[in-house]
Amino acid sequence: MAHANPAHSAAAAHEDAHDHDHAHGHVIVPWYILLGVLLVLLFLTGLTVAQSQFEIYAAEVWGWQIPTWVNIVLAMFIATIKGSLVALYFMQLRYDKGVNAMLFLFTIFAVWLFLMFTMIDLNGRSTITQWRGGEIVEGGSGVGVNREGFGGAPIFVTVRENYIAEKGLTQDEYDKKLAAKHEKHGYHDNPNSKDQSRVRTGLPPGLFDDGPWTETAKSEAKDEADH
Amino acid sequence: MATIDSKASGVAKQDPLWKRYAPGHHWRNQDDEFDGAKIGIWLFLATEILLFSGLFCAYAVFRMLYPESIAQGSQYLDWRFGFINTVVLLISSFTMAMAIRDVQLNKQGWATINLVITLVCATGFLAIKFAFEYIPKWSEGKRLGNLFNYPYATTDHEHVWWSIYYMSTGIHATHVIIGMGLIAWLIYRQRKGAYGPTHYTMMEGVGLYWHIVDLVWIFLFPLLYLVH
Repeated sequence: MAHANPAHSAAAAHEDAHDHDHAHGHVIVPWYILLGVLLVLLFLTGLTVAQSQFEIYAAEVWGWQIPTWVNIVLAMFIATIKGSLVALYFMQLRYDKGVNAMLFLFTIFAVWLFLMFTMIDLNGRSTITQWRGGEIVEGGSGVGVNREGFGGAPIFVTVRENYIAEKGLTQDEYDKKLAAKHEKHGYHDNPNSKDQSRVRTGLPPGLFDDGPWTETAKSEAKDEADH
Repeated sequence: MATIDSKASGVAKQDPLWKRYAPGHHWRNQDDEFDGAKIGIWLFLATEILLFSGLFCAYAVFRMLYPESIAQGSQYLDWRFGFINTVVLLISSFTMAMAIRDVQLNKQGWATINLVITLVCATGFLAIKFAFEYIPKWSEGKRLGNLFNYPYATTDHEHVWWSIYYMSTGIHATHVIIGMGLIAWLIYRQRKGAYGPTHYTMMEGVGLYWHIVDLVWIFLFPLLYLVH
């Protein structure tokens, strides 16, 4: 509350000396502080964008492989600073009674608990009991949401096959269209390390290979034939 | 509310609404009511933060499970639209704070201007989102979950990425729409003189809500658009 009075009298000094209908103890944040915070926020936004563009540039032009987690940590760090500025100055936590700040900080702690325990659990799923690993393999097992009429294939396969059948395309025609669609942003060509920053050219290997669904389809067809 | 008597005898016109405001009888004074309202709003904002943390947790989980699909999926998003949206929301947060400041100093004209700019920024945010992001993507077949219909997918869990994208930004956009309704209500009441230096509780509340909406977007933007 000590800083409320200087701000109060400063604001009073700014305005003309008429009957001040001031709510007691309410701080009026000076406009230059609000504007300054906005400019800092805009600068930090630009910084975040510059950082991610730099990562792509470094990977493509110099071949630097910056691990993905660096990107995430940096981006979240800058976002936390921006969030703190908004909370402290725009939401006036800095000038408020402490109870509001405590509520906010406790909520952040609750979010941290939520995310931390979930991620720790997920990370260690298959470490202790191998069979619990199951489908939680890196990159996924290729079994996804099924669409009727295609016997268990992942949805992206179903959609692709339907599209090719509908338009009557050959595989070459489809490949050309695929390359044209992804020309602008490309795709990774080194899926072995998920932490690696990727130079984005070429198709991922094994894109058109058979997957677990073909085994299922084969054994199901075999069962049908046996009966 | 001029009566025949006041017009005839030249009585000074009635005080504006904000001067005539009296707090509920269970409060010692207006400041206590304001503080109580503020704590209540912060408790509500706590629930909002936890709502969005569920979406961030989903992002973290699916990023750990299907890193390829998430990485490839974020390639589909144009960071420039996200950047413009971030700038628009930051400016709207600034004008919202300025509007509250104007009401505290009884600059009602400026308060209206700032509130209107906030509303315009919110509309701009939604316009950019729908016209340049949602509609082009949805029509190409890049949809969530079982509705996925994009024939040129290159990763096996792309529909999961689109679910994350549409749910996070969609729930955020819903909050923006709700905020727009609240700000429109504020403009209506402020034009009637309901808010002034001694009573601006409603403005403070809507302002805090709007800053949370902005805060969530500040975290959503790098996670969805910038991190590959």
